[in-house]
Amino acid sequence: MITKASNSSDVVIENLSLSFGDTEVLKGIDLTIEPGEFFSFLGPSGSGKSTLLRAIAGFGPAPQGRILIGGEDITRLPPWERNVGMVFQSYALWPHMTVTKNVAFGLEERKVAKAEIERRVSEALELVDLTDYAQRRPSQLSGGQQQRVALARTIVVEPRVLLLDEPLSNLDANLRVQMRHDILALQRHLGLTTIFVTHDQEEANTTSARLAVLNNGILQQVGSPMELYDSPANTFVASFLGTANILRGQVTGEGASEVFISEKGLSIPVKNAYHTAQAIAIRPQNIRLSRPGERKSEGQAVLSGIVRGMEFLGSTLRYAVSVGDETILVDHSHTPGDRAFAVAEPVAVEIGSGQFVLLQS
Amino acid sequence: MSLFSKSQRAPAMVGMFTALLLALFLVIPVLKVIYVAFLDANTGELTLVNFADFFGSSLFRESFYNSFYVSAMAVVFASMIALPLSYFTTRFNFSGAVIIQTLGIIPLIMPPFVGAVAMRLLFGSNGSVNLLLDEYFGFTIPFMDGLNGVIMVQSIHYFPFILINLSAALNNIDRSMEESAQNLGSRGLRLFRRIVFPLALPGYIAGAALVFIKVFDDLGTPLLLDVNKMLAPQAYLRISSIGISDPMGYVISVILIAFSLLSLYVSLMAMKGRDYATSQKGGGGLARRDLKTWEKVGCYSVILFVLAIVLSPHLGLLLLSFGTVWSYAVLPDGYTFAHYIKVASEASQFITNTLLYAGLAATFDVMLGTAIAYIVYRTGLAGRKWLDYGATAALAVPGVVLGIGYLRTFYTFEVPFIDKPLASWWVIIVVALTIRRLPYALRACVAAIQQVAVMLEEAAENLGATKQRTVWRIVVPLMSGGILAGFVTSFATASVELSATIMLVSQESNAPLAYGIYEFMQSASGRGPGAALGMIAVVIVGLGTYFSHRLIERTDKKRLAARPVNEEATL
Repeated sequence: MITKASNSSDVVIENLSLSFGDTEVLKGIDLTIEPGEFFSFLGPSGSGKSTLLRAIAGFGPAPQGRILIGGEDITRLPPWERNVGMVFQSYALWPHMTVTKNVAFGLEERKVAKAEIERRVSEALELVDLTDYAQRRPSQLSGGQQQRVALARTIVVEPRVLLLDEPLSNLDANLRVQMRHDILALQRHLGLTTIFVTHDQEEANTTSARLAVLNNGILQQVGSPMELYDSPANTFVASFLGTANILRGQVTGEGASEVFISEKGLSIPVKNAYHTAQAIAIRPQNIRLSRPGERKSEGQAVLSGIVRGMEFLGSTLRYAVSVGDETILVDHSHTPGDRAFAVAEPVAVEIGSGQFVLLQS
Repeated sequence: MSLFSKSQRAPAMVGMFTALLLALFLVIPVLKVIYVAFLDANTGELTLVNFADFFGSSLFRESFYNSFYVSAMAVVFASMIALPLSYFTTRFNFSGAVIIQTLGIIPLIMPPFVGAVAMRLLFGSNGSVNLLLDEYFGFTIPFMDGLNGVIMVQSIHYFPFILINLSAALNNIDRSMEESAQNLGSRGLRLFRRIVFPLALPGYIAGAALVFIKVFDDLGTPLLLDVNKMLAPQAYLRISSIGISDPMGYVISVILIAFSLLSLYVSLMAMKGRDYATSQKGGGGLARRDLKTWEKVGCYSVILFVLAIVLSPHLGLLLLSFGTVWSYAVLPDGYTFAHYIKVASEASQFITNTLLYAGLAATFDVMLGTAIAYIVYRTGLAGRKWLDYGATAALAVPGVVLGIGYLRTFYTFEVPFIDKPLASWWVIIVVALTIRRLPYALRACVAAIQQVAVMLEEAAENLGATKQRTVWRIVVPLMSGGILAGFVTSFATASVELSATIMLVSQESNAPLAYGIYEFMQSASGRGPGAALGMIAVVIVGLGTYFSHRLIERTDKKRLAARPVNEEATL
């Protein structure tokens, strides 16, 4: 029976760099992934996230630095000796083999006894709910079913680590959510260390215990989804995860009278902050608008602005408000019957104390 | 309500006209041939007696066996040449890839029968190679004796079909197919046997089936090598010496058609459900590795050896065309321009005829090809697929059979004002060439139209262009690269067609180049001028092939530039 993996391993990446010819694609990556953890590599296309995943599986040019799985240095091992399971973005199911043959392949390569192969293949197919499709060819399956065959084919060999390369990108929206839940349930069931590559922050946030944000081959930040959202390390992370108003500028003054002054002259009080900040990030939902004179609470900073535009997003209303020479986005939650601000209406803009993040870069 | 909606009326007219042409010049003549094969020549009743006569004759049984043996051996030798070459190009980072691509083209620019005589002078029992072998090593190899000669000439000529198909199949295997196997613990020979080989097999079988049938149907090469005990030459000889009423020619035709259909069926079955290229996303082919120095030496040795063999017909023909006397000698005794001068002064009508016939045939081919491609892929006309099948069916009709069919069907059809049966009017040669080359032009047009996004046409219609205007202003301009490539390919191959035309030439003044070469090569004194004509044919086909490749390359580049690049996938 395929159950909780006893051999679930940690993955340690030490100072990993990698180049395609003269192009440096990964630059000094340091990362530790805990045993049994569901971990994501998140980044835009070209960020190097897939390259990093492929390096763990042993594909692509040889990297500098080290990769350890369960303490064993695998950096120089060929792909077939690594025992890390990879699910390819395109699934890479062999079109000339049936579902059963595809799933049995890895066990056959491992010279597992015939009877045991049969047993484990049927268990794996049961696990992904494809028992009825065992004798089909990949071309006779839907995208979601192909995805599940690819998963079964990988987990049946009981790899030390499960690598998922954008596994949901070829599925349509509904199926993507369903598959996301299925993969997570499967991972929990198996307790398998899993690395999930995606460019979709929602996928990463909803599945992962922790994630690593990559950009231009550089590791930007590692942490839980909430940590990254609330305390981004830099402007890239702040803007890549969710929406943020990012204003460049600097902090002046001292102690309680410290103020962040943006390049366009907007000043936001930032009590007792540090001086070296280069930018400030404020989430749209952490800003409140009110009609002048109707203000209910005594906020830290009250600026006056004019509504320039409004988008209805369903649960929220998103206003574009010009304050001085800056335009900032403000989200108000929407409830039926509330009176929206009109375009060109003057408003008081209030940023709650502590509802911002000062950033170095 | 009318039969067709307004927007479909014009395509429907064109489609019916095309269907009529196909029926008249392909279906009816072929059916006629098959019908006559089952007809008792004396009583006019349907019978199997002709087939009994055929298999009762030891000459025909031997011809049948020889044709089969030669075709099978040609496949074996062609595979031996093609397998290493395709493996080199797809698996290694290899600077010789350009040479290999060239190797895949050189043989195709010379019809096999043109080089056949030259090959006998190089490799025959008294040819250059055997004279040298005998002098230095004291033995000879019967490269060109009897059936061996046909096998050698054909496998050198047709191996590119296997090379091209197999290389394409290997290149279409997505790298992730191999990587996922490695990821699951497979490597080396096992990985090759379980993943790469089965994925490439359909491509190989398709190529091999094509080679088999091309050799099986070929008339020119055995005729020029004086190998008459094969099926196609027997059919030709019976019809040309005994007459169009002799049933044996028709029986052989039926056998040729049956084998053509069989090999098409085999290659279809090989590809059916196994068109793996389309079921895989991504692409980029298998991982390639660099070669060690000694491996490079090995690769280059193989390539140079193949290059020498592949170039030998061309070299031989060149020597023959400039040589004075070449007999029992390694090289000709002397060199002269006399053959070219003789050809230019006495045989120029062969060249002008060929340019006219091939030009007309290629023009009709791309017109029909474009029309059929549009009707099949852009309209909902009932039965449109049958146009495609009908035009493609010409592939299964050997030239000899089409020639016999035209003779039998149109000999009694008098052309008005000309006072001649259609079967002996020069126009029938153009018709034969058009039908024979239509499948190739059609494939080029289909490939071209499939690369035109329907969206582009819808945008034009949305802006007020009618169907006809859209075809004229959007579809045809976007297809132009493919259409032109189809034209050039049709032109080049039609200009050296022999099997069908040899039957249809009624007088020498109407004969094309291929027939002229055949005529000259019949006599020892005509070999020089024949070779000179052959060189002219090679130049025509070579230029044609060059330009069609350039055209295809140019349109491919344009398309690449227009396509957004997915960075992540390329990393």
